[in-house]
Amino acid sequence: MVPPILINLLSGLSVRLLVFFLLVLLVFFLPRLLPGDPVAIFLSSDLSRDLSGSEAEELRSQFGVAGGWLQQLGEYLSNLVVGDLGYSVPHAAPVSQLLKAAIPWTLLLIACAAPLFLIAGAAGGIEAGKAPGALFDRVATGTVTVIASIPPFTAAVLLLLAFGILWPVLPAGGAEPLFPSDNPLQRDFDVARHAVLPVLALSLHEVSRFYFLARGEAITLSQRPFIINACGRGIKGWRLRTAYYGRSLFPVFLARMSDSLTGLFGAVLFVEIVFSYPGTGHLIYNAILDRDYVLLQGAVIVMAGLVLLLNWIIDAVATSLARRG
Amino acid sequence: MIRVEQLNLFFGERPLLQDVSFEIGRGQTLAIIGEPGGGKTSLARSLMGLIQGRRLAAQEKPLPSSHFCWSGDAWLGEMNVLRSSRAQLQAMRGRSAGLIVQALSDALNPHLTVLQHVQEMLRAHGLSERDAREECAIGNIPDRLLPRYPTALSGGEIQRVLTVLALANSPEFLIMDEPTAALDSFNREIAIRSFQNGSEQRCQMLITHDIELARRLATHVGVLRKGRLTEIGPSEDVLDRPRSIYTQQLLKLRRNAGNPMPLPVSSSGGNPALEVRSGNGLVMDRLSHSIENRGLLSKISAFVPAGSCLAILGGSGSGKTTLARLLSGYEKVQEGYVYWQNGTEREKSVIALIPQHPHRAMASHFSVSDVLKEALMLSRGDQAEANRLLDRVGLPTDTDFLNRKTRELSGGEAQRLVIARALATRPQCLVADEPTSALDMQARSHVLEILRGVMRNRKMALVLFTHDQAAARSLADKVCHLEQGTLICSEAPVTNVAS
Repeated sequence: MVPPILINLLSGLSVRLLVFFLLVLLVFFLPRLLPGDPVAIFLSSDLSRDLSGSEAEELRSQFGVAGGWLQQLGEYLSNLVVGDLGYSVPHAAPVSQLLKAAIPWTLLLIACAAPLFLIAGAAGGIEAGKAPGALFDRVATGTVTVIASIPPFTAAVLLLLAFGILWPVLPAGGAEPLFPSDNPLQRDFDVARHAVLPVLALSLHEVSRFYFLARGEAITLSQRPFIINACGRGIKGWRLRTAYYGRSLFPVFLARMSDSLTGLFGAVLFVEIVFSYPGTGHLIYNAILDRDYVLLQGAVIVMAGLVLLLNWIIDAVATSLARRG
Repeated sequence: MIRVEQLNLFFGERPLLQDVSFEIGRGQTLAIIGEPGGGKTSLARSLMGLIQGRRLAAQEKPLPSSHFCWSGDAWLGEMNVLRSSRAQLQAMRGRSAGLIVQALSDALNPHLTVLQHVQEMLRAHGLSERDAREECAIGNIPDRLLPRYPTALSGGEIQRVLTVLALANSPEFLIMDEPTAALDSFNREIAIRSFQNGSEQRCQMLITHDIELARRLATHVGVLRKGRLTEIGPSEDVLDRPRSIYTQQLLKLRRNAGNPMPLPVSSSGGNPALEVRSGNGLVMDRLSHSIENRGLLSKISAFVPAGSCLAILGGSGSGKTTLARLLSGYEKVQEGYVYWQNGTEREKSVIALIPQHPHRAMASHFSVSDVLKEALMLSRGDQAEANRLLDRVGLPTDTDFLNRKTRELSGGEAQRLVIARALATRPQCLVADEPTSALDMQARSHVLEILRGVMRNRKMALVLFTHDQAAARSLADKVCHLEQGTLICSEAPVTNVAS
């Protein structure tokens, strides 16, 4: 028999492919609805020399804005299928190459931060929700409320100020030293040191939402007969928190994850800008400043693809788990 | 020994237990009987230290809140559970003291299989050298149930798991809260034997509304009414020569139920599918159903004429609840048909379900009138209609009662309200799944009376699922057995349900 998770994966695939296609269309048409085109902007600069009509036309086709919209779209899609996202003039490099260099850094931040804020949120929330109103609950809920009320970029700036400048124990920016060490161990250590503050800032932003979710669920769970019965059987400590509270929280956490992914990628953008971290967020920010539409389009499509991919997997797992009741 | 001294328990301001004192020595079993909602379950939980709340200071009055508070003492051996620390309580639970509760759907961890539950219990108490499978075999849990999650277990199967878990560590103090209500007679015997086995080494407290069970297990009986112990003494004294009027009433009801009318015998016998189906009625046509690829029901066919009752008896796990859910549309029909026959026409059947646990079938924050109003929206009824419904099931119609929250109703009142709600949608057929097993004798006979009334007067078809033979006898026109997935309607009167 086909495992149910595969069925869930298949049933979720078509809708995500459709969403992705619509998004590609949106990304294609939006910049073209703006007045002017990249060539006009390029030419309006004081430094550029006057171009003849044929030269401008050649430049247009280079930028992928020659001919009618339908023709442009066809060309754009066929390029996209073979992985060609265009050429970024300000960076003088293909967009796919730029993204290939940036995405691992962004994924590194997310991969380090996600377990941190999920586990901290769940552990704290369960502990507080087990005995609402007790000392731990009052202290933890107070602290998390304060953290939740600080906007994410402010928290990042505060962290940077505290540990990067006032008490400079950690590097204040970048993902690596200017001249990376040849020793791979030393290099890994440097990367890890540079990632600490951005990961912390990202986790701080996300931890409160999962803390409150876990706490609320744990309060309800504590009243449920199966938990009370387990206490009556002498199940306690780690076992009670993981097999009883934790596993019941798992589907809820997954469901919340799938809708907070977009927010997470948004938060990465802030964090990368504050710590000048060379990930996609930094790339997108500079693309906006440079009006580098080609890069912007490529980055948006790839990020959206990533979000849809993660969201697809999480959804399928969550649906399979929910069947158990 | 277990010793309780002047225990008072409040939820907010509302007293649940008042001035309760008793002693249970080694080798003794005290049965606490009385109406549901009388504070019996709270008593069991407070003895295990499972009530979250605080101790009242001397002379302090309880304040309105949504917490528990208590005064008095409760000793399990040398330990005062109402004054002990959390660590002390945790060391006691599952080791020297065991608790068996009634098997409701949520009694086991939905994320663990039966085997994992037992293994966990053994590991948690350092008994890993023992084999979990053997423990299960002792409690009559067959091997095929071991890899299942609780959603795929019947009430009786959950109850057996709970019993095995509680007895695994041979506790010195055993607290039982309706430990057999979900069991059929065969598994009930096994459970009773395991409670008797070694009881001379234990102090046992049994909480039940089943007086027969109390008579068989208990050396002493206490009667709890509205949170007070009205009578307590050796079981022969209390059960045979009761002093208080309340106890006499409880026992009288039991005796009436014990002398049922003769069992109606199926007129045609044999295969119910071959019976002549004439007139109006509910038709089940070759219903089959399987759970996790294991066939549970195969080709169930039956006809229930309007104004009559079909009782379906069956052992634990035979598929009673599944069939009830299929009929009432809570479970998707995998194979076969359910429809209402009107003369020669087939219609979509309008069926209402009366569940086993009325409190779990209503939102606890709804008032009585909210519950009815919601159902009456479907049939566009008004307040007068609501009052008529309440009248029909023998509930008061004054504003005070209409504004009561459903969680404050007793089991009998709640079950009657659920019946009223079921009638509000003007169904052609009622499906009742163990409608009386969670009720005391008095409420039980009321509910059976009401069901009989609506069935006859409103020409409704009634399908009654139960393992209570007396209830089946008193209501049914025809009695069938659900055995190994098929319906057997025998000529012979029902004698042994599961054996």
